[in-house]
Amino acid sequence: MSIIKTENLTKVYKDFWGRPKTRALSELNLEIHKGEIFGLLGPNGSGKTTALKLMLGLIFPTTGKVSVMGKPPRDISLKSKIGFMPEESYLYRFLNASETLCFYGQLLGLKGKELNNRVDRVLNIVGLDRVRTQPLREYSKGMSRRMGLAQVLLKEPELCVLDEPTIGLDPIGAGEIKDIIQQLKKEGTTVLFSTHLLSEAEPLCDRIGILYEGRLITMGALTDLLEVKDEVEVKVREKLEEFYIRTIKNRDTSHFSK
Amino acid sequence: MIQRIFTLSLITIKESINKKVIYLSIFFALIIILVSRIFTSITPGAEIAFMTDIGLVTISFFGGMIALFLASDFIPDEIRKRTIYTVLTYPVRRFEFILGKFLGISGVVLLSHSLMSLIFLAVLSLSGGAIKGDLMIALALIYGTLLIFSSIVIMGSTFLSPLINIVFSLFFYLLGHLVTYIRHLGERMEGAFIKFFLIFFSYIVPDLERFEVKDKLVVGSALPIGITGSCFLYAMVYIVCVMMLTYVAFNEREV
Ligand SMILES: Nc1ncnc2c1ncn2[C@@H]1O[C@H](COP(=O)(O)OP(=O)(O)O)[C@@H](O)[C@H]1O
Ligand SMILES: [Mg+2]
Repeated sequence: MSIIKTENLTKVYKDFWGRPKTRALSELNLEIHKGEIFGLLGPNGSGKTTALKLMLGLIFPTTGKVSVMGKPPRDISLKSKIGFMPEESYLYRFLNASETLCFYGQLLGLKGKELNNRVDRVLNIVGLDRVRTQPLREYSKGMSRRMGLAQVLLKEPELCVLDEPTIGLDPIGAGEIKDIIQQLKKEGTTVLFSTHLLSEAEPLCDRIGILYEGRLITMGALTDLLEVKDEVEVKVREKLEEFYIRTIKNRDTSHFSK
Repeated sequence: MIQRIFTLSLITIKESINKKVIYLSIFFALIIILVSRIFTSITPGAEIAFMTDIGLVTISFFGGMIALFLASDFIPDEIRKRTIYTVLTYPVRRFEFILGKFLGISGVVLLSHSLMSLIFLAVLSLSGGAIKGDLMIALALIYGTLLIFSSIVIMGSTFLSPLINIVFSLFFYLLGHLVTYIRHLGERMEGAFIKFFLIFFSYIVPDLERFEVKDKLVVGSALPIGITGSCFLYAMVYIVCVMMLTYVAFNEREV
C-alpha cells in the first residue's frame, strides 16, 4: 500500500509579480510504501525540501498531484498521523523543552496525565530529559535537532518526514538519530527522509530516489541499484559513492527500477 | 477547536510578554499622565477635564502602538522563523491559527490597556476627580477601537510587508476617525465614480467616530443611550468581516 503518491508533481517558484523564477521540481512520480524507509537523495538545491513541503501541504503544486494516505495533503485528519521535522529545528525559542512539547501536545488534544507521560517518554527517547527546563534559545544545534525530532515523536506518527535529519551533527549525534529512525521502522512507522549525504542513506534505506535539478533520475531498492548492468559478469558491487556521482554526472535513467 | 485556538493565543501572549514595546508604551503613558497632572494649572477651573482629555488620548495612542507593533509581526515572524512549519503540520486549521493570533493580541492589549487605565484612574482620583461610569465606558470603547485596529493590522500582515502594513493600517485608522467627513465629501462630489468611491470607502474603513466620546465626557454632557451596545455590535461585525478576509488571504498563502 502506498502512503504517499505523487503524479507528475511539478513546482515552479514564482517571483513577486507571478513570473516563473525557479523550476524546483519537475514531474515527480513517486510512491512511498507503508513501513519502509525511503531516502530522497540529491545535492543541495536539487528540490528535496520542495518535494517534502509539497507532500505536507505547506506549499502547493504548480501542476501534478500529491496524495497522502489517499487524501489531499492539507486534510486536517492527516496532521496528527504525520510528523515533520524541518531542515532546521524551528521551534519557539522562548519556551523550554517541556513547555514546547506540552504546547504541541495540546494542539494534538492531549491533556493531563496522558500529556505529561508522553512528554516524559519522548524527552527520554531523544535524551533531553536533563535539560528540559532550559529555554530552546540556549540549545546547541544538536540539542535543537533532537527537539525537532521530539516534536515528531510526540505524535506517535504513522509517517515521519524528516528533512536532512542529521545535517550539521557530529557523528555521535547523527548516529543516535539514525538509531531512532531504525527503531521507528521496527515499530512499523514509515519514514521518508532527505539527505545530500550518501553514507547516510546506505545503512538505513530500503529504497532511495535521487533528485538532480528537480528531476528524479533514479529510484529503487539499494541492492538493485548497485547491480550495474555492464558489470554483472564480474559481480562487483560498485561502491555507493561512485554510483551516486556517476548517476548524477550521466543523468542516466536507464536502470530506473520500480 | 476552541482548545486549540486558546492554546495558540496563550503562546502568542507568552511570546509578547518579552516585547519591550509594551513596557516602553506603558512607561511613556505613565509619564504623560503624571505630567498632565502637573500642567493642569494652564486650565484653571477645568483641571479634571484637562487630565481626562490628555489621559484618554494617551491611553488610546499607546494602546495603538502596542497593537500595531505586536500584531504586525506575529504572522511574519512565524513565517520568517519558520515556526509556522511545525504548527501547521499539527492539526491546526489556518483559521484557528489566525484566530489564535487575534485572541492573543486582544489579550495583550487588554492587559496593557487595563494597566494604563488603572494608572490613569489612580492619578485622576488622587487629583480629586470622580471616577464616573461614563469614564469607564469611554475606556471600554477605546479597547473596542484597539481590537478593530488589531484585526486590520493582522489582516495586512498576511499579505503586505511589515512596513507597508504599518503605513496602510495607520492610514485606515486615521481615516476611521473621518468617516462622516469622507461621506459628506462624497455626497458633494460631481463625478459619479468618485462619489461612489468615496461613499463606498467610508463604509469600508472602520467607523471609529462612533467610539469617540471623549469630547462629550470632557464637557460633562451625557453619553448617547446604548452606545456601549451599538459599538460592541459594530466592533464584532467589523472584526468578523476582517477576520474572514484575513482567512481568504492567508489560506492560499504558501509558507
Ligand atoms: N521559496 C522559494 N522561492 C524561490 N525559489 C526557491 C524557494 N525555495 C527553494 N527555491 C529554489 O528551488 C530549488 C530547490 O530548492 P530546495 O527544494 O530547497 O532544494 P534542496 O532541499 O534539495 O536543497 C533551489 O534552486 C532553490 O533556490
Ligand atoms: Mg533542503
